Amino acid sequence: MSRPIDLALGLLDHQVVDCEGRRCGKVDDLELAGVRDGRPVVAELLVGRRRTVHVPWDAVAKVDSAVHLKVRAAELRLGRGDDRVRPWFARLPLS
Amino acid sequence: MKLSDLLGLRVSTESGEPLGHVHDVRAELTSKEARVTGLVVGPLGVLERLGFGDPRSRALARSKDIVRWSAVVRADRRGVVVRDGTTPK
Repeated sequence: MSRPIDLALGLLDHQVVDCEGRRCGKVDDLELAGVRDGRPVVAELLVGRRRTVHVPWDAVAKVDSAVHLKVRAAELRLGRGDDRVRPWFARLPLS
Repeated sequence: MKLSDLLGLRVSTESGEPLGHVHDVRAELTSKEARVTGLVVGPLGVLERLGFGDPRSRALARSKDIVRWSAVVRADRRGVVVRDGTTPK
């Protein structure tokens, strides 16, 4: 089963969600492999602008309104920015 | 090559006839891979990205705006060159 997708419209800026439902960044760019060979495929998602994490396409489970991963964010070192600020938010009242 | 490197590139034929710019990259999504099949080119590509598209398929450009990847001779930072006689379909 396959379906067409426009990569910029259908993937860029989409939320990345790991296998536990944790939001772990947005797709900032895609790495295409095989462009010179005439059989290009999406090889990696590039997540994060300041510290870019390369997520292999093999780790993608499905694509809908978000990009769902087969693995936990920590295995790919994703979402570490959230980890740093989480203790601060945990101290806030009603958090 | 990054997707962002392709977006916005000029598309022309080998003899220099301009076809437009790359506004998106069409791929076929399967459970195993996302294989690139074509380029969304031309001014309508811009309108499609802004939401003025075929009402039956709002998310995708009309098929006549697609240049098949099999027609691409070269794609690099200088632009995309396709075979002579290629027209968006």
